[in-house]
Amino acid sequence: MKPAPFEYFRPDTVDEALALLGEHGWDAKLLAGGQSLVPAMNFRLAAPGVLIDLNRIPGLDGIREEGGALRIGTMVRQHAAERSAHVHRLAPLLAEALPFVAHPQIRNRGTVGGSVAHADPAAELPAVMLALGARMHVVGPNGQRALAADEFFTGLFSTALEHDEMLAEIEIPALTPRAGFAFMEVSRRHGDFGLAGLAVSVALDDGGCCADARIALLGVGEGPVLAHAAADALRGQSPSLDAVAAAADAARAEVDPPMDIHASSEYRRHLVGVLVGRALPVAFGRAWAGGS
Amino acid sequence: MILDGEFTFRAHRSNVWTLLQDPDVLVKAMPGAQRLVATGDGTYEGTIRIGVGPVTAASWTLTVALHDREEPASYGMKVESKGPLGFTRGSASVELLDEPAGTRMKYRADMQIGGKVAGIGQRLLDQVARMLTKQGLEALSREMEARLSLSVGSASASVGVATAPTVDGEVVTDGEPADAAEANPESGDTVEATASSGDGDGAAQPEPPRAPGMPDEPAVVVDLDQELPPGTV
Repeated sequence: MKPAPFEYFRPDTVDEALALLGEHGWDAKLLAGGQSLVPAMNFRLAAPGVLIDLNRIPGLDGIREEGGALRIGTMVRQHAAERSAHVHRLAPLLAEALPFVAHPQIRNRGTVGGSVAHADPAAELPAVMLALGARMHVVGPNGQRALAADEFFTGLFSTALEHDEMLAEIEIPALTPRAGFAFMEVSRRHGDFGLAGLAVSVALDDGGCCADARIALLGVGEGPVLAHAAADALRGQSPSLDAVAAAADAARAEVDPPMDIHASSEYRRHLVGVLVGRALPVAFGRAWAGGS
Repeated sequence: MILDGEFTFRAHRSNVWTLLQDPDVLVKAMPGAQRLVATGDGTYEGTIRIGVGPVTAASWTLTVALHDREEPASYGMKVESKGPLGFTRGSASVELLDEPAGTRMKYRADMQIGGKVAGIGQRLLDQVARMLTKQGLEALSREMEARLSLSVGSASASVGVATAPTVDGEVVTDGEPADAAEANPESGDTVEATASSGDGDGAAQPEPPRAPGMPDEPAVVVDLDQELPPGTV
């Protein structure tokens, strides 16, 4: 359980980190909280030649409100986000999902940006970002760019990040008054990766009908997956139990989940229907009550 | 692990059969393939190198043996692979069916995966296998079309000008195979492309059809390399 030899750099600024990334390219890994990378290195699954430690760079761990949006620095610890009043007020879906991320000891070290950039298909935070329509602010040698979550997650452990770029900040639009949300997942034990789970964000129009819905599933695809057909089934509908049931059916039909020793593909598909059926009434109820 | 599925190539069945047995074609299609050589009639040996997500790419040796070959309709194969993170062995069967849109390949592989990869990465083996299979088949399809189109172009020199754009067109189309793959049986586009590349194929076929191959190979190989994500915490 010892990693293969590697070279270690501890830059003091983002520019230094980017210069190191540019220099070492594919052979380098950024070290944030290290809760996925370090175990992989200790198992020698991952053997990067260079580790670039972001932990001493100041200014990457802020949580703030700006222009009606929540801004979370990439190095914000998951635990800090979980306890943040800003997060609870502006992005309560994120606050609701964070306790499902592994265990408190891991959340003390693990970062929001690290989890998002790692893009594990069963991870909670990528699904939350997708459901909330977050924007990823990325820095690289050519400056900054912003990507919608929809285009950021590109596959199994894959993101739109180039090898010489890093995620700097995540921008989440603030919860609106007629919006609701819910996070749920099913796992064998609390803290395990979910067999299946979902982050839901819905909005009601003035007439009380569903104006928009984003249902991001985890554990059932190569990355977080938006249930488009389920959302289409809801849009414009009054949020009745029939509408919810139709959305659950649609979600079940549109996923193609993987199998492993913990659960068959069929079982995961079943869970998707169950979870959609449970989460939507909660989300609509919250939207109805004023987005609390 | 059972890995099965279908994929439609826009080419005549005889051409698909031939190219599927050509190590030079397969080496370009298998994700991470570095080397693939025929060691006998229906046997191959090679090296592949794959890394997924946080797992650093490692080299795996690979041996493939074909059996029950019934040209151009079906064959079986046995595959073994070994690498620093584990091993894989398994068997696969491949069936090629004539279709208006080209040739439909049906494949089914039964793979056993052992070693560290299987232990730590179990949670993700299925997804990685699927992803690599998809990538491999799409790459194979592109490579086939490129070869067949080029052959058509050179064979009918007078039409060369007209043919060239077709090649480009197909390449462009393939540029987004990731999406197309999921909706893979989209025969609409496929039919048109096939018509143009299909005609010339017969004459254009420069490759000796006898080389053995592992059609599904990419998928199988893929499994071996599976990267295990570290999420095993």
